[in-house]
Amino acid sequence: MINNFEYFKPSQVKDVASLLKAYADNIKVLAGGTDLLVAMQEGDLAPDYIVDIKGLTDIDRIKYDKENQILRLGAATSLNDIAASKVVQKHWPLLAEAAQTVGSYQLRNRATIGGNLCNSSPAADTLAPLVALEAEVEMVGLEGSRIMKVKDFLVGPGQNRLSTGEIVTELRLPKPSGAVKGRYIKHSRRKAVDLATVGVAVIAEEGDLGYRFKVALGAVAPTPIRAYQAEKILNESELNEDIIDKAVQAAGEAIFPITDLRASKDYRLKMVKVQLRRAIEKVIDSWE
Amino acid sequence: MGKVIGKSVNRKDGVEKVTGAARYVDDMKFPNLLHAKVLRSPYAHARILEVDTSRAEALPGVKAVITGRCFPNITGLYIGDRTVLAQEKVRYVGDPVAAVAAETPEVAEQAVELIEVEYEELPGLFNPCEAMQEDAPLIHENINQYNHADFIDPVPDSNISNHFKLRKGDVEAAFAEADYIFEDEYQTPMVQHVPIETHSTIARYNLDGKLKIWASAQSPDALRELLGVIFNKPLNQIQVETVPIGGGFGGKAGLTPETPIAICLSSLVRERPVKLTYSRQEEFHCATVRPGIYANYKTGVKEDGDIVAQEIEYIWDAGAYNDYAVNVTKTGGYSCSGPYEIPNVKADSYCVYTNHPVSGAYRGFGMCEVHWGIEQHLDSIAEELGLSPLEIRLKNALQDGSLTVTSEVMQDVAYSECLEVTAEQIELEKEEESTSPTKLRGKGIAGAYKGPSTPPNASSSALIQILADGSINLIITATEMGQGTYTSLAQIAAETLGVAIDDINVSTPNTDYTPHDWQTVGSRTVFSTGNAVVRAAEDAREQLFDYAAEDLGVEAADLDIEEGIIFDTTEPANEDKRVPISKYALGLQYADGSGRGGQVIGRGIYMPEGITNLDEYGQGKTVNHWTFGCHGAEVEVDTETGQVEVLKMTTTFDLGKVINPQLAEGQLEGGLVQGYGTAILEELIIEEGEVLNNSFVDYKIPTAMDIPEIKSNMLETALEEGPYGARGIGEPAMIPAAPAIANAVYDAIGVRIKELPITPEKILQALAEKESKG
Repeated sequence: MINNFEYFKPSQVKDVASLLKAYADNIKVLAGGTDLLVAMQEGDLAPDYIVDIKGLTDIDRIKYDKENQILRLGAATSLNDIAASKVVQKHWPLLAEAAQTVGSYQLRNRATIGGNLCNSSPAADTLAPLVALEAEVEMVGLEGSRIMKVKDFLVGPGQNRLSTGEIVTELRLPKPSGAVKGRYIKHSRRKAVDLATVGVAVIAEEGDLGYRFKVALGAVAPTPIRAYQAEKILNESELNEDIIDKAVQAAGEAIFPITDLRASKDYRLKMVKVQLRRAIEKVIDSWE
Repeated sequence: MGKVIGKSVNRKDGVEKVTGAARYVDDMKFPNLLHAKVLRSPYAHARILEVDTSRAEALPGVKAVITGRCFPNITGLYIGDRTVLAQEKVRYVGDPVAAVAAETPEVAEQAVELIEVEYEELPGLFNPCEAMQEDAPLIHENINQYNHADFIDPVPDSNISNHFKLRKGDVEAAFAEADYIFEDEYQTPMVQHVPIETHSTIARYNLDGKLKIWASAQSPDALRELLGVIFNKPLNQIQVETVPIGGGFGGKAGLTPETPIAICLSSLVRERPVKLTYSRQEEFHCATVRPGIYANYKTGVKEDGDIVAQEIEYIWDAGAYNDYAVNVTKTGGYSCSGPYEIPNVKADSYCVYTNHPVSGAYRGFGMCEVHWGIEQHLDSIAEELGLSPLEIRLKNALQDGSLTVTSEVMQDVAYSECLEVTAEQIELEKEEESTSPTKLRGKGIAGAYKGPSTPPNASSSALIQILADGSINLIITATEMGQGTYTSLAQIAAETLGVAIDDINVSTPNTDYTPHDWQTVGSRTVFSTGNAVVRAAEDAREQLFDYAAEDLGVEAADLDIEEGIIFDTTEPANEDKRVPISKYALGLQYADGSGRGGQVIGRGIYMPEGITNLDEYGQGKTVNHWTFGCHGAEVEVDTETGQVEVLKMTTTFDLGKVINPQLAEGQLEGGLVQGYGTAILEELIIEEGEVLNNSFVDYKIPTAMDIPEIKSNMLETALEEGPYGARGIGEPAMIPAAPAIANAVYDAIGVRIKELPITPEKILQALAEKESKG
C-alpha cells in the first residue's frame, strides 16, 4: 500500500539536486518506477517526497558524441529504446542484447538504464555489460558533476557511490576502436520475465594485436565484477580449448556466489563456468 | 456434426473479455464501500492468548474490527474443521486472526498493524509422514467432534482427517505368484493455482438481515449453503452473485475464507458493502493450494508385463484445514492405480493435517499427484522387463469390460487408442539428433484418467425462458471462469432447441434467480449441467409443440424446430405450417383474443444414476464417467546446465463429443501448459511453515516463451450418459503432462527425477550420482 507523498518534476538538474539535498533520506528519485514503486507498494520504502527526473532535458536521449567518440545514454532512457537503438546495436551489441533480457516488454518500456544502475542489484542485466564495456557514469549535484567508472560506482547489493544530493544524469560508453563482438548470456529459470541466476558478459575488441577480451560476471558477487585474470589468460595466449578452460577456471575463482531461492552457491559456480565458456565460444564463432 | 454442436462458435463472453469491459469483483464500485484487510498469523502453530483490537478500533476511518470469538460456528465442505477466523489456535502462517473494515484500504492496513496479538508458539508439524504418527501432537484437538460427509473417515485422536481404504482381490497371494516385484517412491510439493484474478469478494449485510454477496467463487450454491451454516440463515436470505471469474482451477471452489470474513465485517456496519481482495502475496500462501503427496508403490508383475498386484500408500500433506482436501485424497485413493486393470490392489490414502497452507481442489483433484508416480513407475517396470512404455500400457490398459480398482465395469473406453495416437505422433520409437554434443534428446508418454470426483448425488439444473420475440435466456448457476462454459452450454441449448447460437443469452449466476448447481468443478459442467440443459431444452420444445400442435393442426410428434422455426416434418415445405417459436413464446393465442398457457419455461434437472458411495473396501461404482487421455513429450536436456527444454508435446484425449473444437483445444493446451509449469518450474518453497517464494519473483509459471509446440488430438467415443456423448475435459488435460515430461527426461539422460519439479539442480545432481556409480 503506497502512502501519500509529495511529487516534484523539475526541469533543471539543480532543482533536483536541491530537493535531494533538502529531504535527504526522505526523498526518492523516480525514473521508470519499476523498482521504486514495487518497493513502496511492499512497504520497504515510504518516502514523503518523490522527485521525477523525466522532466530534465535530454534525460531520455541516446546520443552519439562524434567529437569525443562516446555514446551518451541519458539516465532515463528506457531499456526498450536502448535495445532498439541502431547505434547501440552496431557498436555496443552486448548492451542492446542485455537490455532486451530485462523483465517483460511492458516493463522495459518503463525501466531505465539509470534506474537499473542506481538500484545496484548484483543481478541487474545491464550492469555486467556496462562493466565489461568500461562505461562511465556522470553524477550531478549542487557542487557540480563528477565522472566515475561503473565498476567503481557499484559498491554492494543496493549500494553505490551516489552522495546525498546527487543524481546520475548520464552513462558514457567509449566507442570501440576496432570491430567488436559481444555476448551476454543470461542464465535464468525460465525464458522470459525472470531475474538472472547468473549473467555473463563477454566482449572481444579487434586491435593491432588481435582480439582483446573483456569479461564481466553478474549475480555471483556483491556487485557485477570484471574477471581480470580470465581476461589476461585469454589475451596473453593463443586461444585453444585448454586456454579457455584455464580462463573459465580463473573466473570461477574470482566470484563469491550465494545460495538463495533462485539457485545454490554451487550451482551458480558451475553455471558461471558453463556459460562463460559458451559465451567465449560464441564470440569466437562470430568473428571467424 | 450437429448444426451448432461441433462448431467453433465465438465465445459468449469474448467481446467483454477481449476489450477489458468485463467487470470482475474488484472492479465493482459502490458509494459507501468499505475496504477490508486481514491480520494473519506469523506462526505456523501457536495458541492465541490475547487479541487487543482497541488501538485499531480507535483509528479514524475504521468501521469494524472482528476477531475469532465473534463468529464461532464451524463449517467446511466435507469435514467441518474451519471457523471464519482462528479461534484459540493458529494452524499455519497466514491463518486469519482478526480483520478490519475501513473507509480506505490504507486505513484498513494501518489498523491491522495496530492489532496486538499475544501467541504461545507450539511445535509445528511440517511432514505428513511424521504428523500421521500416533504420538504426534494434534493440530485439531477436536477432530473427534467434527461433522463430516458419510464417505469421509477421520481417524480418531490423530492428524489423519481422512483414511481411504481400498481392498480388491487378494494382494498377498498375487504378490506370491508374481515373477517380479518393484517398489518405488514419488513426491510432489504443494503448488499454487495462480489465477490472474486473486480471490475477491464484496459482501453486504442488509438491515433486514439478508446477505448480498458478489464473489469470485466457482460454486455459488455450495458457498451459499456453507454460509447458511456459519450465519444460521435460511438459504433464501443469502444471495450470491458470481460475476466473471478471472481463473479458478479449483482454488475458488467450496468455501474460501474471504467471503465469510467480509460478511462478518459488514454485519457490524449493516448496509455497507465490504470488499476483501487478496494481495498476490496473500494469494500465494493464504489461498488454497494443491496438497503435496508422498506416494509409495509396490507392484507385482508377470514376465510378460501383466500387472497382477499393487500395494499403494498415499500420504497427503494437506495443510492446516482439510475441509476440501479430504475428498481430494479419497479421489486419489479410488483412482489409485491409474487407467489400468489390476486384479489385486491394496491402497491406503491418508489425508494428513500439517502446519502448512490450506490445500484443496486443484485442476485434476488428486490425479496430477497420483499419476506423477504411477506413470513413471510403469516406465521403470517396462524397462526392467524389456518392454516399451507403449507396450506395458497397452498390455494393462483399461478397456471395455475391464474392472477398475473399485471393480467398476468399464465401457466405451478408448484409452488404448489415445496411447497409440500419441505414440505414433511423437514417433516414440524414433531417436532424434540433439542440437549440441552437451545436450541429450528424449521422448516419453504418460496416460491419465479422471472422473468428476463429486459425491454420487451431485446434481445440476437449468431453466430456459423463451421471450416474446423468440430470443432465449438460458438460466444456470454454472460459473464462467475462462473455460467457456457459457458458450458450450449455449451450444447445447441451441442444438437441442433447434435455434441459432446467437438467439441464446446465458445468465450470470445469482442464487436468488438461477437454479441449483452443485459446483462448477471436476470437469463436470458440460457433462452434468449440459445434461440439465438438454432436458430443459426438450421441456421447452414440448411446450412449444403442445401449442403448435393445436394451432397448426399437426401431431406434436410430427413437429420439429430448425433455425427457430417450428415446422411439420411430414410436409416441411408447407409455408402455412412453418411458424417462428416467438408465436408461442408467451402461450397460445386464439383469434378472439383469448389464449391458453403462458410463457415457455423449460426446466431441466440432472443427477447421475446408478452410482453410490463405495463400500468399506473402497469397492463399487462411485464415478459417473471417466475421461481418458495421453500426453507425449519430446525434450532436450542440457547436461551442463541441467535445464530441460520441452520441444514438442502431443495431447490426445477422448472427449466423447467435441462441443466446440476451439474451446476444447484451449482446454487441452491450457491443461498441458499448466502441467508443464508444475513439471519444470512450480513449487511452494516452505521452510518451517513459512512460504518463502510468495511472489512472482520467485514463484514462476510458464510464459508464452516457454511453451512447447503442442499438437492436440480429440477422439470421440460417445459417452452414453453424456450430452450428445460429451465427457469432461477441463482437468484431465493437465494430468499426464508432468509424468510425460519426466519420462522423456529419463529417456534422454537415464536418470529418473522422482520429486517435482524437475529443476536443473536436481538433474545435475542425478547425473553426478549416475556418473559416480559408473
